[in-house]
Amino acid sequence: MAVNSIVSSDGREVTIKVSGRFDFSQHQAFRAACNSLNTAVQKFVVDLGGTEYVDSSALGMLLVLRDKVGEKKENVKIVKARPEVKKILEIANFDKLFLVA
Amino acid sequence: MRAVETSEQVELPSLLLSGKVLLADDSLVQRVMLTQILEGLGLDVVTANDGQEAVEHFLSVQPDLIIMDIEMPNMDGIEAAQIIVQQIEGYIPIVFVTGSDSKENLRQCVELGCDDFIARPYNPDLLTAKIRSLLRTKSLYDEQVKRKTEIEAFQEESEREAQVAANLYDRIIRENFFETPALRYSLSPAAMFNGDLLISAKSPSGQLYVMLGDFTGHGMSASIGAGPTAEIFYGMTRKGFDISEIVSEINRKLQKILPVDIFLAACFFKLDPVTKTLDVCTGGLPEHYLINSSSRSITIIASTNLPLGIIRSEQLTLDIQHFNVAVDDVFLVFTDGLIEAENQEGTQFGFDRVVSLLKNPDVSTHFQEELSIAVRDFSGGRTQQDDITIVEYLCDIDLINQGEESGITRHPESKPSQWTYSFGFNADTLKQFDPVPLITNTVIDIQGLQNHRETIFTIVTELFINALDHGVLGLDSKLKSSTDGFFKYFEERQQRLEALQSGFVKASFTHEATENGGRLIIRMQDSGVGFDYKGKNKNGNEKNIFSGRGIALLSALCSSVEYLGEGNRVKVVYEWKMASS
Repeated sequence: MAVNSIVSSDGREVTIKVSGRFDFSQHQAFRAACNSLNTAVQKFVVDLGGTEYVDSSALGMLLVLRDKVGEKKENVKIVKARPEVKKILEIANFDKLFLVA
Repeated sequence: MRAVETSEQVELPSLLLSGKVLLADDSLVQRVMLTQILEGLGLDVVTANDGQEAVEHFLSVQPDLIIMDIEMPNMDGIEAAQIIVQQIEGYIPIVFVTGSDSKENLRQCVELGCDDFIARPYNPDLLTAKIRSLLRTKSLYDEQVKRKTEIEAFQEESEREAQVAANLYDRIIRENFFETPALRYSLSPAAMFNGDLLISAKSPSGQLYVMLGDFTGHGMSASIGAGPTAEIFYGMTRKGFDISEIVSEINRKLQKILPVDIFLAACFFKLDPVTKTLDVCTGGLPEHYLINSSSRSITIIASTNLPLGIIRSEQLTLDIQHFNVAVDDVFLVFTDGLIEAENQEGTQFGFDRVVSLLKNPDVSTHFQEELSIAVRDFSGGRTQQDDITIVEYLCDIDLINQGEESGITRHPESKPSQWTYSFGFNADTLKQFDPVPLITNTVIDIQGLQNHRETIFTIVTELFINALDHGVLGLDSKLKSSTDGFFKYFEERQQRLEALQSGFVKASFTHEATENGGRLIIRMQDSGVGFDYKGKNKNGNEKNIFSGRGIALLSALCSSVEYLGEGNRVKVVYEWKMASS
């Protein structure tokens, strides 16, 4: 259960990997990861390959990312989500807000 | 503040201490010598010549440590300590000093609960070590007490806030709730705290509107949005707004007030008994089911919208799904707690179990109850049940009409009497709250007109909104003539209200008894310039159905509607009959 972030060499793109359950218990770690980033960040890639489960507070955290980099859909990309995680994103119609690949 | 109070300093005490010592000794030499040592440690010293004086000084000095000689004239140290101990709040270490090593003294000191015992002549290093240790113990004790008090205060505050939130929830949400046998639901009493919100209302034209929502976050964060959501839902449903307008307005409000990461997953649905259609606007909740209870055929209705409170209403394109319904159709909606309920092995209840239960002809058509039982059995009676709200709506038209708003027990009215009640609201008040519920409830309570609540509420709302919007705020109702214009109108209204400096709305209610009931005369006056009501009456066929609705509605509900003066005064009469007559 962890939140890892990797900043690209030009400092503009950040890849956030969440493994295990992405829920309220990750809130602090996720916030901390977001707040430690500098303002040059323009894009986020959220790698959910290792995520077993997302709840609504996780969806809220994704919205925080969107808020940080403006509201353009391309700015936050969600990748490698498993089918059960994808289902939650679909229910929330988050493909309208994020690039879900 | 004493330096020993912060934890770092407790761990690494500086050589200097701080604090106040009450030192009682009858020997001047001893007092001077001890004072020197103590002051050398950085402590403040207050001296007493005997036990009597020590007792007298104690309360005013409020020492952190007491050093007391045992043998003293007037009152000895033991007796003084006995008195002082009674007055100590918290913990103050007491150290006895004696020249003799009498076992009797030692025993008495121990019985008294004294903290240490120093025999003369003292070793200054040992004395210093003892004092340091005792002061450290005291500071730890004080810190502990402070934390405990803070935690208790915090807990009390949280409980109080939770209670306030629960009361608010009850008042706003439950008071107007339209109960009908067509709507069956299981909603835990802790619903407020898991953010689930179920509200139901009937439109003026008899359609049933229901919303099941689930706020992200819990407790207080969810309660921020619940009040405004319910208020908009009830207010707009009652005024006959359509689902898309209500949803947009709720979204607009939530987008403004909720933090970025909190939103409302919700399903709004409307059943029209005339056209026998079900309109569903849903976003963020697990799929819903329209089940024909005779054939057990199922239509799955998936979420097609974003949850509310995320993007601005102008960017929100709402998708509304329409269905024709038969009397034996059942519409089923639930929050994600049902799907996510886990059994002992950590397997989720899931959609497949729901569907196979609904299709199983051996299961009764009381789906909401059947599902509640099934999930409880599945999860082995775990307490997750509390997080699950299941709502079932029977599309049996006749059932809607049997409903009534909860909180209304059909009390007989009070004996019709003569009274007058007036209210006045200035700009400051108008900015802060909507006085309509308050004045309506007061008027209803005076005469026991609970059976007429909805009508009186509608009349007062219309009058008040006309007075505030068109009078005080000077808004032009033409703005509202398109659906799009509604939002412009509400935005403009909000801006003007926030900027309002002066103006007033006055209302008076006069009640008279009539032969078999009463007559309620409502007068309302605003600080606005009025309007050309004569023109309006003459041109009765208003083309503008949106803004014309207000006055038409008033005319339908009241026996007379009369505009006076410049059009900034209005008088309406509502007649009611005793239920028993």
